[in-house]
Amino acid sequence: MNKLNRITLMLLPIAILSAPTALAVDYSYSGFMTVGLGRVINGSVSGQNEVGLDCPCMISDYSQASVYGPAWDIKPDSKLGLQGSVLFSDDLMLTGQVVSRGSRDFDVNLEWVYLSYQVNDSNTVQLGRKRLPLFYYSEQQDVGFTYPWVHLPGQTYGWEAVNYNGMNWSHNLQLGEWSGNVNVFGGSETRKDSDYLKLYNGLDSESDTKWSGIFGAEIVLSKDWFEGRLMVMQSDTQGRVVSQGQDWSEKTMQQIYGASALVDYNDFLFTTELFYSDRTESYGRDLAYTLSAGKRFDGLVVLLTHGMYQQKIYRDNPAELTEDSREKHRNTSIVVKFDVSASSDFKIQLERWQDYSGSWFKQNYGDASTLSMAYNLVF
Amino acid sequence: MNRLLLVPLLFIGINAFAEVAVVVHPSNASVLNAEEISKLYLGRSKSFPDGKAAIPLALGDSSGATAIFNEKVLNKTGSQIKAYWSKLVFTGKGTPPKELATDQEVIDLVSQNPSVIGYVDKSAVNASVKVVATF
Repeated sequence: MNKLNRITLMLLPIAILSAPTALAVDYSYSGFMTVGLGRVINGSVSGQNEVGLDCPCMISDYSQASVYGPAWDIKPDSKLGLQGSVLFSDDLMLTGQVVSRGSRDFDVNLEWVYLSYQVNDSNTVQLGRKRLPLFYYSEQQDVGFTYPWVHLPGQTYGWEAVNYNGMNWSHNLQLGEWSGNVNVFGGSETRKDSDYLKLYNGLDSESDTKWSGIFGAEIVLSKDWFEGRLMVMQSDTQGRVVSQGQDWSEKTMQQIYGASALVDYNDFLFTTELFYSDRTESYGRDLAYTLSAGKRFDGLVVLLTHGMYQQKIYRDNPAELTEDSREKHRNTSIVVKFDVSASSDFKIQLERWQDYSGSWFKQNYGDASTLSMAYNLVF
Repeated sequence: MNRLLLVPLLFIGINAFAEVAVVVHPSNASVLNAEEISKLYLGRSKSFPDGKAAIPLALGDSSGATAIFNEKVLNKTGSQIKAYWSKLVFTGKGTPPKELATDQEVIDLVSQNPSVIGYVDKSAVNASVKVVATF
């Protein structure tokens, strides 16, 4: 039995015992879909790379190992998700989400399942498996309709853990004319046979990663045309390459900081997101940012985006990483989003990935120009 | 004039002159401006100014009143509203206002419950509800 099923079985009795004796159970469901298509038009690497990918190639989603190659492909960004909620009372709800991804050959996976208890109008406690709120769009990263790109900017949205098991406390704020939310979260995540690590260790490899002692908080404040967010978290990290017979590495602590700002003023759009991680105990630190500017016209949005990711590897680092494995790249894109209906859109994106990494990453991924498009729907 | 052109012009005319009324229970003494109504409908506030719980009701996407309400009160298109609520629904942070099919259903529920607030085409308003704003 996998971990998600165990969590579900653990949560159900709690939900039932917590509900009133005479259960007035109500149900709701919703869903989302992305049908994507794209290919790399040209790039600096050709043929099959060391990892086993056909190149020229460009990573569109690190966490799911979604990669566009030289041939037209629907898999990297396509997905279908269904979310169902069981309302045991006005205050108590169990929510589950299953997602079928093209990047996983459309296998259906139980993505989230959590119990939500609304303490009062301002406070909610959730327990179970949820998305780790590392970035502004983390929790909605599968719902393409809710953001302007075909896929989220890989320079910022590229991390090995996306979900966690644990609990969070969410508090709605009202500070004068400012509305907001504070979310405090804690838990752990063990990702067996990590897709993310296949991008480095090989498609045929098997690697596990573990984040334990996750503890963090985020605050979001909005007013009129502005929304800002700050996030800080820390955890211990461990990893192992199972296919090489490795045991878990020693625990090393990481601290992660995020900041973002969104402006939507008179149909002009500006977004910025900054990400910094301190992994001194393992190899060094990471810095990433995304900057976007765009304009909303009648029924369409045009957005220009530039992003950068830079890894700094310290000398004599415990992980024994060398400058050859250092990763640094930039991505510049233009995307046009057309509103098809109130609940669907079509986007087309042209982007240029420029690689300034050490020799290993540059020889295996390198520069790439990619054209991708997607039809997104929520229901 | 070509007769076919008259049809879209007729619809433009209707929308240009239609008004939306925001209605509450007659016993509700709240005074609400557009910003306060917007906060209730975007889930950023969950109570009336007197502190009592507020339950917003909406009409469907195809309703003319919804298009006017979205534009004049929420300052967003239908697509932006859908994206806003999709973000909250799929991240477990909120649920959108319950949608009803007709103005009359909104009027009926508002007239029965002091906690409920709704919007309808102004022509549908009757004495069972109180109008707190028109747009």
